[in-house]
Amino acid sequence: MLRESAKAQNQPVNILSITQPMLDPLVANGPELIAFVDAIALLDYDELPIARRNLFDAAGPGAVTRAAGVCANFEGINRVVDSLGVPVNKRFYDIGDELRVSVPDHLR
Amino acid sequence: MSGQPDTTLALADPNADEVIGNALTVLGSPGSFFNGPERLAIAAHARGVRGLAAPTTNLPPVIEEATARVAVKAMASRSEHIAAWEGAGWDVLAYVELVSVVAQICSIDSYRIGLGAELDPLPEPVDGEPVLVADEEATRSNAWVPTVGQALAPTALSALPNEKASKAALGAVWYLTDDLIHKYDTEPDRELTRPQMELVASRTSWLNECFF
Repeated sequence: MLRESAKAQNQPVNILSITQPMLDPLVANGPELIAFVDAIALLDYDELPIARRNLFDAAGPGAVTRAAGVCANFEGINRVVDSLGVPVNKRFYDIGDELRVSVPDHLR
Repeated sequence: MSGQPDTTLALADPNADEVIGNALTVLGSPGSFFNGPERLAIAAHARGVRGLAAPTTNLPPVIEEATARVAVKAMASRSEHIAAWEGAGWDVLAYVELVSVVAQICSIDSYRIGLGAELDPLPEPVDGEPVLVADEEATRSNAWVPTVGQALAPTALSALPNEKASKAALGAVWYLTDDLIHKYDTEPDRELTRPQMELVASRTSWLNECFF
């Protein structure tokens, strides 16, 4: 959906930044957003205050709240789909190729 | 256990707080297979295995194991786990309920952690016995559990309408309402643009080794 939304808005995006966060996603405040997500999802309490401050400085308090909300939503969705065996839609297989990861057999 | 509380860098969102409050009340209420105390014990165990609260060990082993798997290594789930669950005499829809409870408490906790807030206390349980509320049209199609129609992320919990609704309410306030999810050119008037939100979503999924 990152690629689809960026395409729909004529917004360049480097999808490889999803798996290689040292790359610039080309999305506004991308590095700050990725660092913030990493700290939440990995429960990294050392990095979290720094990442939160950096995102706040770059994009404001609303961005902090929204990013936390979107991350939280996918923390839930990921657990649901993986635990219930919801297969990956075939139209997303090519994104896996782009990211150089393959969809596991049990989710095909 | 969720870091030093400091919410000064986050914008308050009363709508989200209200939806979370409702979700927590439902988590502590009788479901389709588990009563309020049992659902809260599952939620507490999920917190414990994530290191967010003291460990709890008052659940039957099959529930404890499933809760831990969903909470910390959902990507390791396999159809064999569902078969073992059913083999132990449990209804497959009880597993769906468990997954819903764990997913909701994990997402609520991640939100609070992101904001720099204390975790919400689990509510007092609501009295009552479980009452099955299931969609009769749910069948096993392309997932390991019954769903109404093809299993997709928004329909994964559809066999249990109350669980689906509770999860969807959280998604709508944090991310997007279902009607906007595939309207990629529509900006939903959020504090982040759609591509920014999708970047957050994609990175979260990557870290969870999830392909969605």
